[in-house]
This record gives sequence, C-alpha cells and structure tokens, in this order.
Amino acid sequence: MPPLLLPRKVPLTASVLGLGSSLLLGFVTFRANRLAAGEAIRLLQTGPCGGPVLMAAWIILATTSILKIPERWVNFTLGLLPGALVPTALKVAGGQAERTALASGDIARVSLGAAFWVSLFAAAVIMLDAWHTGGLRRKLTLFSATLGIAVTVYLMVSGEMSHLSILREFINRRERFTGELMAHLALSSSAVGMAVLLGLPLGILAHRKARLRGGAFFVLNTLQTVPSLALFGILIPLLAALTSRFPVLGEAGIQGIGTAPALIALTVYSLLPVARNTFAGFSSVDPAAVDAGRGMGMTGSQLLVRVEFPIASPIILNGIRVALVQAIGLTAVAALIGAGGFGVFIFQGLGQAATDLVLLGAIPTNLIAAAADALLNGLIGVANPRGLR
Amino acid sequence: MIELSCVTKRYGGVTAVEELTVTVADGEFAVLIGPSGCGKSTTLRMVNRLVPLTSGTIRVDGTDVGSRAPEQLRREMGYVIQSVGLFPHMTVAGNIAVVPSLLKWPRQRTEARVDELLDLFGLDPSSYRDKYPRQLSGGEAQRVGVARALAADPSILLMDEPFGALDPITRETLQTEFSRIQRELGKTIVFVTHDIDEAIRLADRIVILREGRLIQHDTPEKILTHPANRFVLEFIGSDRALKRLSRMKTSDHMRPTASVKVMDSLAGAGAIVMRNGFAWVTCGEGVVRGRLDGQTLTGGAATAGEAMIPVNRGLEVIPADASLREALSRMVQRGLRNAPVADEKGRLVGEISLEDILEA
Repeated sequence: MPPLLLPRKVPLTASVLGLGSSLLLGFVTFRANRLAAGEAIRLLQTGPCGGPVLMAAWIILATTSILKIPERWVNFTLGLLPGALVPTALKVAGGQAERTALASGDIARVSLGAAFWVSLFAAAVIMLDAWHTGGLRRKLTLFSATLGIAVTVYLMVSGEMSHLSILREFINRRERFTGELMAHLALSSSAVGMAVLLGLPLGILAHRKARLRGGAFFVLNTLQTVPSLALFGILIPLLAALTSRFPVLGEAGIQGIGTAPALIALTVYSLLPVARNTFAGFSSVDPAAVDAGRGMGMTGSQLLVRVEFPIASPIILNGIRVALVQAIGLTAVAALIGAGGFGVFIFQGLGQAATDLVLLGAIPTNLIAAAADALLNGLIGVANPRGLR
Repeated sequence: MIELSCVTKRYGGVTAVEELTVTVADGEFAVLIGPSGCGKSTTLRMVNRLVPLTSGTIRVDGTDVGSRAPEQLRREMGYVIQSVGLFPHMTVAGNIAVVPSLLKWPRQRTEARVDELLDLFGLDPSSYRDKYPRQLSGGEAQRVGVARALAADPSILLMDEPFGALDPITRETLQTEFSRIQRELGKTIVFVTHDIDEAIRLADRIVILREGRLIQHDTPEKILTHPANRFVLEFIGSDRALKRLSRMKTSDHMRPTASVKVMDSLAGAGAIVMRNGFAWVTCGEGVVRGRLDGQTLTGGAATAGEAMIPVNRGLEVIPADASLREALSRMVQRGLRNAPVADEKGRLVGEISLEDILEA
C-alpha cells in the first residue's frame, strides 16, 4: 500500500499552532469597562457560526499539510485559505464585540486575544512559506493576500469593527492619530535626511583618508551602543544649558525637551548605518576602475558621479534602509521627551494599563517601518546597476 | 614625440626614478622594461601626470606636461592597465565611450566610433556592444580596455603591462593582434612590461631600467647583439641568439630554389635533381606537394609526382611570414637541413636551410 502521509513541515506546524491556540487560548478578551480585568473568550464560545468556520479552516489546512494528495489541491488550499482566514478572523472578533456592546452597554470592551494574534502569525507563516515555494502557490498567495488586505481595510474603514476596543481607542483619538502620524513621519524622515547629509560625506572621507577611519567609526559605534532613553536623557540638560546660555537658540524654538533633542539623537543613531555603508560601498569599487578613470582624464567629481557613486549606490541605499527602519522604531521612544509620534499612544497606554491604546501606537509604527523597508528595497532594485547583478 | 629629461621621482627617502633622459619618437613603440621596482610604471605614470615629478621635465610634442591641466592632458593619451579597470556598471559601448563623452562628442559620432573599434578588435559590435564587463573573458576584457584607450584617437598610448594578467595563449594572440593594429594606426606607444620576450616581439626600441636608472636604450636587435653590461646580458637570458631570431622574418633570409611540376617526367626532373641534389615538387598553381632527391629517382616511377616524398611524410613547409626562430624550431623538430618556404596560399616562394639561419 502506498504511504498516505506526506508531511509538509512548515504549513503543518503553523496550522497545528493555529488550531491549538484557537482551541485553548482566548480569541477575544472581554472587559466590563476599559480598565477592568479581562476575561478570555475562546473561539468556540464566540458567536453563532464564525468560530466553527475558522476551526474548519485550520483543520483543512492541517490535513492538507499532512496528507499525500495531488499537488494542485495543496497549492489551492495553502495558497488561498490563509489569505481568506485573516479578514474572517477579524470579522468574527468584530461581530463578538458588537454583540457584547448590545448586551452589556457601551462601556464594555472587547479586544483581540492571544488566539487571534497566534492565528494571524500562523497564517503569515503559511503565506511566507508559500511565497518561497513559488509557482502556482506563490501566485495564489499573492492574490489571496491582496484580497485579504483589501477586505481587512474595508472592514476597518466601514465601521463594522468599530466596537473592537482598539478601534474605539482610535475613534476617540482620531484627530490626534493623524497628528501623531505626521509627527512620527516627519521626525524619523528628517533625522534620516540629516544623517544622509552628514553620513555620505563622512563615509566618503573615511574611504579616502585611512587615518580618519578608525576614529570616526569608533565614535559612531560607541554612540550606537548608548541606550536611546539615556541619550535622550543626556540631551535634555545639555540643550537646556545651551539655550539658557544662548537665548537666540531658545527664540529659534530649541528646548531641552521636544523635537530638538529627539532629532539630534535620532540623527546620531542613523549616522552609523549611513556612514558605514557609504564607506563599504565606496570600498567595493575596484581600485583599477578608479585608476583607469583618472588615467582617462576624469576629474575627481566626474569619477565620483559617474563611477564610484553608481557602483556604491545599492550598498548606500541599504544603509539608508536600515537607518530609516531603525529611526521609525526609535521615534516611538522619543515621545517620552515630548517629541510626539506614535510613542505618545504607547506610553499613555502603558500608563493606563490599556493594552489596546499601546497597540494603537505600536501597530502603525510597525506598519510604517515595514512600508519604509519595502519602499527602500524597491529603490535598491531599481538603482542596482545591471552590470553588477 | 615624448621627451623625458633628467626626470627624478623620490618617495620620501627612496628614489624610484633617477635622472632619466629618454626620447620616444613619433610613431615609435617604446618598451620600458626591468625587474620589479625598477621605476618603469612610475615613469609611465609621470607622463600623464598620475604621479607628480620630483624634478626634471617631460615634454610631449614640445610642451611641458607640467604646464597642462592634468585632465586635459590625459584625455589626449590612451591609458591601459594590467587589471583593465573596466567600469562594471557600464556596457562595453559605455566603457569605450568614456573619453568621447568627456570630450562631449555628439552621440552619433561616438556610436560610430565604438562600432569601428569593436570591429578593429574582432569583436562583433552587435553582440558585444551591450554586454557588461562581467560577461567578458579576460582576453575580451583587455581588447575592450585597449579599444577604450583608443576611443578618442589619441596620438599617444600609455600601456602598463596590458597583457600581463592573461594566460600565455591569449597573451600571444593579443600581442599579434595588437602588432597588426599598431602597424595600421602608427601610434606613439610607451609600453611597460617585465616580459623580455614580449618586449623583443613588440618594441621598436627598448628602455632597460634598473633601480630607477637607465641601463640601455636601443633597438631589440642591438640589445640582443650588444648588451651594455652583465645585467642586461643576464636579463635577456642565455637564449638571446634565439630571441634575436624571433625578430627576423623567414622571407628576408630565404633563397630562390629549383622546382619541378608534379606531372613532369622523371627523366626531365632528374636532370634538375642531379644538378641541385634535390628539387621541390609543386602542382599547377605552385603549391608545394613534395620533394624529389637522388634516392627517389631509382624507383621506376614515370612522373615526379609518383616518385616524390609527399609533404605529409616528414616534410615541413615554412610560412614566409614566420620568424626564423619558428622556422628553426620546426626544422630541428623534424631533423631537416632545409625546408620549402610558402606564401599564405601555400605557393612555393623559396627555401631556407640551417646554414641560412646560422648566417642570419
């Protein structure tokens, strides 16, 4: 008899994880009011049909991952189901929140529970695995993920989910949210902008002047190891002293707390990846190419623009990508010294023990970091000269 | 014309080039040679001001290079280096077009020039124009490197061990090819190498340097026959006689010879063989087919063609443009005292003997 089993390890592990968490952990958390202790509600305890549908999806995924069945079926199941699963899970949670609101009044809160997040993670793992498998499964995953994201966005915007605690927090702070988004983007991108303006010349200089190299990178490396909170802390008295000494600075809006110390600290952190990658990029240029260029009569700036920079650009852009992702994350901490950004929600939420408010700050921070990462990766793909690929 | 007078280069306390005075005439192929550290590359790089002089002057066509803007000067001289240094992010066409673009040539002129140069180096423009350097073999890359140096048609070419990194077979192919191109273009060339065979093969004049000083500056023939001192003698090696032969062409040293036709009767041919000791046998168009000598006459054959020793049995036909060194090598290998010399179509033009080579 031919074997019946053909375990596909990654999707199998992920779907067992999804199934197990849905059975054992709370899918949503119920609170009588915003600050009350939570009570876990498992998937099968939720509403009329959503729970069983999700359970069935996990069971189908698990059996598909282990049985020896035609590859075509596997591709369709593993490619399409996870993308559909995510908005469905959200819809189930949102429905439960709505029913709770009707039953227990508007102060009761329903937030997303452990099983929801584990399911989201498991679905993402299956999608990533499908992406690396390639072929039909990759195409189907791309299709279902795109559709899943579109439906998720629709659910968020349409108000169907508005009874979920995290969206309640959002609705209460809608105006503030846009403001902090702008502050967050402005702060992190201007810090990286400054780091590029300073780091590019610094990296080029480090490449040209060996004597400068050791010192410059020693300082930058050391600064990188200073904890961000400590650096913000150090800058407060420093800037305060400066402004009291030179009132002009105070008139220009520079204070011990607020944007100025945040911008300085974030620029300092962004400087190392930019300068280090600029140095590495320029060092990757074959010295023979530089010699040939000089020997053919290129001026220093022509050599820089036509030869060194194009060859170094993918490595430099990669440094900017690292700096940007890091700065977006660190900007959240800058809220502590009054610089604004999504950190405001995170620290408010921490202070009030309101997890959903923390998430309202943390999730968008992660999303813009991922978006910046993807954007820069795309740019690197475009900038990478064909001859070097 | 390139004139170096009393050129000195010091790095700190180390003297790389000392009081060097050398003139390279227009259209001359000058080879700078010497052991490593003798200052040959430094000398080359002082001509286009990549290395500044400590003292002395270098004049190109009468103008002191020190008075010229270095970038302008370099655009008027081709520059080729051992490691080629093609720009990896540019296509072959883009690489060749570097100097024309610095000189702001119109696009059409540049494109036409790129194709012309690729043709000159035997690289089909339609398939090589858009390739990237990483897609080229070592030999192809250096062809592109030399083409790039020639792009703006400079009258001077500076070459720093251009073929040094290639395998022996590719190196020889490129040397031959480059000699041919140089015969067409007649550039003034300063060429650095540490390979004496390469120098003897290519040079009109050789400059031998040692520890930054000029030891001997002469034609290859003179250097081989009259080495200035023990150092030169050792540098050119114990086979200098053979090296001298490699500069000589068989066609310049062959002598006229007697031949008979394949269809000639043995009786008629015999008379010539008796007079000369042997005779070459050719067919209608004069292509060498074999050899007739005293012993072959006795076999009872009717024509020269039937009686001869055919070419493919122990006979060596020497191409007229082969060097005497090659002719000698072929004859010694087959144990022959003489051999027919033929043109590129295989037609008999003369004969060469060991005695002729010894007297050369």
